[in-house]
Amino acid sequence: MAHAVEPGHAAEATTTGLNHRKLLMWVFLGSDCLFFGALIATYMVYRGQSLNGPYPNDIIDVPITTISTFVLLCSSFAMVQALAATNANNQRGIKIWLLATIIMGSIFIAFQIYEFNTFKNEGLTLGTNLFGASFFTLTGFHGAHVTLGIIWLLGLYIISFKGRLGPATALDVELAGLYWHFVDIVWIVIFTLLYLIAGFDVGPAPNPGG
Amino acid sequence: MAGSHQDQESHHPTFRQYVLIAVILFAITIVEFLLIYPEAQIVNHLGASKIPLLVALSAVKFAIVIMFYMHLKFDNRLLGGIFLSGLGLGFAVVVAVLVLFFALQGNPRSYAEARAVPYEEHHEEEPEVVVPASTPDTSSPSVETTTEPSGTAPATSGSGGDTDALIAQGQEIFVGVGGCAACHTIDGVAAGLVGPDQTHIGTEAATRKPGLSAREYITESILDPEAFVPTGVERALPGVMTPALTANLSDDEINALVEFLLAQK
Repeated sequence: MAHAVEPGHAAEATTTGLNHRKLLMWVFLGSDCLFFGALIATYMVYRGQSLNGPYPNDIIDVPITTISTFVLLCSSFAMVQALAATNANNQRGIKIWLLATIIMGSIFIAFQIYEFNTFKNEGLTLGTNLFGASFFTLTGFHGAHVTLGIIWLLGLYIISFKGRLGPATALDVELAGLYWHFVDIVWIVIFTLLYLIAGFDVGPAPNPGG
Repeated sequence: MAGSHQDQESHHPTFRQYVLIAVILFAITIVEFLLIYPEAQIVNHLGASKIPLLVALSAVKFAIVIMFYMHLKFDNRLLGGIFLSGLGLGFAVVVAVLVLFFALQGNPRSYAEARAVPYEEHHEEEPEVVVPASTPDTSSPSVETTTEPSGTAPATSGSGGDTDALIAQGQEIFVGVGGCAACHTIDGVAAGLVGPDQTHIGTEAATRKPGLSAREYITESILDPEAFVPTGVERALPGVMTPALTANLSDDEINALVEFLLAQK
């Protein structure tokens, strides 16, 4: 097992006793919570406020998205195994699990491209209504995060062929893993709010007040 | 933080435990899906109580992933503290924004509508409906946009007398400053859901109220909507349309609006 902080490592000696890269990653993930929090709040505020369709109930496909959610959860499991293989210096395992993570992440993105394209054909774009604007902004930024993660993992995958991933460089994989799992938990929230809870929203409720 | 492991010894889960965690995450997702899927028939029994249930289930998934997959349970507490601060702050932002919007007036739409500046669609090609006399130099190639928010005084002296121009102006008022389009439907013009459909008002108005011509009836209904409510007219929300809604329109604008509605045969 490799440790993030090796006592004998002079370069790693920090006042917190923590590796700076890892600390920075967590700071970034904490701040990214704010980013997605703002977008989620925007979606919830505008929920049900669109004056014209399509409305969520017309086009949101919950079963399809449940499948892509499964795929993303699976990819998190593969990511964990990739890190375990790195710590165990299992070179073949590193390549297999990294590739599995990349493929599953790409499948998730493929589902999202299919979904966005379907929505566009059904008449929902970024500019159609409040639902379109807030939906595409939120899920689009999440998709961008996943895409960035895939590129990051591809980089690691290429490096793994040079045999440069192992217990000594496990932090490289661990940081990518932290990012990947974070993207996964953001999707857990988005899936619950936008699909399971708000996915069946119909048109606007008639205005009860003057 | 739950785990109080100060030592740097990592207690990473084994492969079997990771599989178990993955299975738990899958199971929760399946339960969530069954909760909301109409064919599963569970949704009817639970009703609104399924929302807190769904939130709780995804919170459990969230916690499992950050504790085990992201090792927060086993890692230094400072890292967890940093992340949870960000998470808590983000959550606070969501709550604050929702409270800000939903606690104001109970309904953000009524709050916004009461303060909204009506949106006017910008049509480059549309013929100008402004009285020709005011702009003698209309042949100039520069396309001046006179469809700016014309809230206060669109140059209408009524001297034009051109019915088509009045109808066009009336339509602009219908979808624009008048705000009519927010509630009323006219095929091809507006699709409001609250008030009565006005697609054929030009024909219907003549027989609505005994003793009033179509023009008189429409004018009265705009100025004092509740003065006479004919039977058989579908209104989603009776009492919403009040004289205050049309009080901002000038006589000329009302005139144009009436002319436009009369043309809806």
